[in-house]
Amino acid sequence: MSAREHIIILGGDFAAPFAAAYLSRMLPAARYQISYIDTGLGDLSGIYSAGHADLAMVNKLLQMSEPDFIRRCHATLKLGEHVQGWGARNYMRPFANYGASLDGIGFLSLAMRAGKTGNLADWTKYCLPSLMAQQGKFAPPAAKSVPIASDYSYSYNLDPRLYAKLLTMRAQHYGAALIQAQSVDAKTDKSGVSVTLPSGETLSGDFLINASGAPLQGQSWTAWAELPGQSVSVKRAAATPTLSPATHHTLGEAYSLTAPLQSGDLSLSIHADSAGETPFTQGHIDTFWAGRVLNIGQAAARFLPLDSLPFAMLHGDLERFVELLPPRFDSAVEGHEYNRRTGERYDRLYDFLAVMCSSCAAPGPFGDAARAISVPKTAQYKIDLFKARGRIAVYDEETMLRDSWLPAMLGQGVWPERHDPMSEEIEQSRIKVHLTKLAEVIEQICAQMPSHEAFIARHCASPEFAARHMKAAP
Amino acid sequence: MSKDQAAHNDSPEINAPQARSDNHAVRKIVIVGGGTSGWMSAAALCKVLESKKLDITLIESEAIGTVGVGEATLPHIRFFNQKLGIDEAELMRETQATYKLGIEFKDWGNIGQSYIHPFGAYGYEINKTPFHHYLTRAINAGQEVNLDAFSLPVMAARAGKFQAPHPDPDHIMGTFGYAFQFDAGLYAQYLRKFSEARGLTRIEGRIIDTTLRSSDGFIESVTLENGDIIEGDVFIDCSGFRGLLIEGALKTGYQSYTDYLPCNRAVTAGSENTAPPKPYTRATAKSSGWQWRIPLQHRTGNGYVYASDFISDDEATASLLADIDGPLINDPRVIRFSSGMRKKAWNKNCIAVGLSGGFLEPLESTGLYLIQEAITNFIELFPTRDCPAADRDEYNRIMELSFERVRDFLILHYVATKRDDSPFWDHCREMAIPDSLSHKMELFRSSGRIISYELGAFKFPSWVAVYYGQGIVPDNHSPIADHMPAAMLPEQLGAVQNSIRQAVDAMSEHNAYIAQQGAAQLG
Repeated sequence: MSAREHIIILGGDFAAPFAAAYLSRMLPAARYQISYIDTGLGDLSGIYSAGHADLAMVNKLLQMSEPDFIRRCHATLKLGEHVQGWGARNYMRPFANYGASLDGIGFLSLAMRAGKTGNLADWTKYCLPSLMAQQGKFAPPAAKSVPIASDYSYSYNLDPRLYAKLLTMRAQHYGAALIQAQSVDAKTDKSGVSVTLPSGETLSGDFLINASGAPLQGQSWTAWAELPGQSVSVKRAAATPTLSPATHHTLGEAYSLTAPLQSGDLSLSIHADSAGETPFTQGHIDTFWAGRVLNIGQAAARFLPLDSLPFAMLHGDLERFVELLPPRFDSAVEGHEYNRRTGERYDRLYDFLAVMCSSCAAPGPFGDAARAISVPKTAQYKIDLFKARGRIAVYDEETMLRDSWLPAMLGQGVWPERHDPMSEEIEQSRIKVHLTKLAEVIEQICAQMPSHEAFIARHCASPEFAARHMKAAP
Repeated sequence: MSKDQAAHNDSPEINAPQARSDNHAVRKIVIVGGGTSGWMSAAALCKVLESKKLDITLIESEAIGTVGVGEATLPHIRFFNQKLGIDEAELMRETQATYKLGIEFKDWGNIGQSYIHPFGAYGYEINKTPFHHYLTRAINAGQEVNLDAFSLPVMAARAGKFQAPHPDPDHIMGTFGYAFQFDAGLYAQYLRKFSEARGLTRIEGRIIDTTLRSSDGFIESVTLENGDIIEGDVFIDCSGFRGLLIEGALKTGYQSYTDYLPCNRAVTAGSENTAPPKPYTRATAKSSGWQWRIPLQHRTGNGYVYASDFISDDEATASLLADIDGPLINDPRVIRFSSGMRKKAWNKNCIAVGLSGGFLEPLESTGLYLIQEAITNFIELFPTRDCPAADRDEYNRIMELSFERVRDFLILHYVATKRDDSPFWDHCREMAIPDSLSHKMELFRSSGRIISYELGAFKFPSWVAVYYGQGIVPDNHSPIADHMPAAMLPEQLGAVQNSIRQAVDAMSEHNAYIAQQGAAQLG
């Protein structure tokens, strides 16, 4: 093998330090040299305060200590997404399934036969992490194969600026070069990439990862003009004594994503009009991977951060890039496949946003704009099939799996007209006993758990949080 | 619906209304045709609907033959049998079954080459990178690599060994699956007993007419030769190629795949075993198609699948016979078919299962698999009496993808070849292929990447086996495989080979294992 190929990561967005750490860990150092040009973080980095389900796995891959990560990022634990104002009532979309099946019959059909329909909020008692979130509790899942107690996972709410610092250090640890610059000028052509720094120095490379938060000049962009939301404002609140173990997605006049942090809530509000200080244009770049440039993060797509999907998409895009890493950067076929799959991924993401918006219950200009959205055929098909018989149609490139779609549909008030006829093989009385037992077991497990704040104080508190918690404790 | 109609809701003349209450549940299912598809459908429906007071009727005529020849299956069949609660040893005895670890493809990539497509992956992931990238790296570095040595089921098959896998997938003996080679006719008989014991009504008779409901074109009833009229809410068409209901009555239409899969006939014959049965099926490429060899306990199934544009029936028959080792036990029989699928496998209240729903040549033993998919998807989408469009659309979407993905995988066997010894192979090498396949092949050639999908029988390991087996080695490996220093590569590959060799050495002989587990009672 001749000289190493040089990958330059163009910063500006949280996606940059994330990519720098992930890629410097994943790519063999014998073949790749990675440079990260850190130009700070833009206003939209707050979108990444809500961790997705696989974030713990990423940190493990990056060989980070969990308590240390939580402490340094002022992070809190997160059992799922709390959704308020989108459906008729508030509900949780946890990193777990609601209920438990019986004789291979899914919980939805069991609940329908028991007459437990109408609102997902009424199912909280059948889902351990939902009940934990409601009661403000946290404990990690039990060791493998204990029913219910081990059947959930968790993630984090975090301060992206602090996490970015940590990731940058990991990137350097794995051999990435860090270059700090105010602004840069990047140019690419068929044979390579060149980036000019403010000092006049020019960096030449073989491949550019554009994580600057915006497309490079000359790249076309498809607007998702129907999605509500034109501007963003960010607010950091003072620390509070209680911490919800969830990310909150609250729809009122505006849609707010709130990540409870040890240092105080971080909220990002998306306004239907231009009331926020930062403009928010939703859509995606037409060619995610164009020649020697890969666009990730806000440079690839911008959309309502429901379900912590920005984090999930960023991570997924990088995984796909590594999975399809070409033998040389002048090979085009891998990039084509990346674009095919990534395009489908974002189409499926739009399906989800369209389902959420079209069924949204909140009054006001944001809700009005949301309800006016036209639903793509693929999403309408999903809605219709679910409405008819409670089945989720699964396409090839889904970021949200079948089990995540289910509470989204139910929470948004899409209830099936029929239950699974096979569920009739089970007697009503057995279903009743099953549901009662389930709720009892969940309640018992939950009762023994510490509060979220107590858990943090014991295992992973920042010095400030620890001090406050000591004072507050009796 | 008018008020008048609503008032007469219970009257049998009124069509099923749109409401979804229990009194719109399916009451009667009529299965048209026996054979493997009919009896697999019957058994599955009888089992899952056991406690419902549902009338399940199967109409078949002994005067109409079934296509059923010896059948090789995929591991999926075991889940089907498990769901029915069938004891595996009993099934082995009843169907003269042998175990199957994969399919040997002889003379496909080129004359003289042989590989086995096993039920299991080659090697294991290292650094989150599939094993075949390390093989590619070794091959492209000039190392001599025998692919067989990296697959336990392949080595076991070559050695004539078999033993049930270990339940722990991390155990070396847990890294493979298995299927059966059995007599499909006996399997159907076995499932007939199973179904009749669970209340199925079997009617012997030939159907001469089908009556459609005028209001919506649903099938209302079928009329038998003796004048009996059999009504039903749902009809499962298992009548074979002709599609008595789905095509004959409903004129659904057929999507042909013959542009891509040129074989359209098969000549079959059973022969006596001349050696202990091998734990794998063989598919040998020939001048105008390919010949199967399926060893059962009591006999061997043989068949030459060919394209009639390139060889006559007589020539094909002569060629079949020339390549059978044991004495024949029946006269050769020619079957005609056309690869493709019904435009809607579920149309109105009729579900086409088996050959009536579509046909793909048995190169990868997908016949029973596609029947199983058809019937299990129908059960998953079990409708109300009015067969709502949502259920049908989802069923058809899934079945279409299942067929198309098997189709693309089959085409790969024909186009990934260097054979130029006959007009048939010249045609295959140069024929246009679907974009969905050419894109997959291009990506694999560049850097060994396999395209994954949600639905479809053949996943990652199968594609790897056929690509390499037929001589397509990627130009490059995944750069991630270079985490491993070059000097360590031979040692790592050697370790995998050794552990497989040791495990295979300790396995039972196939024949001995059958004798112990599921030998048919002879004599």
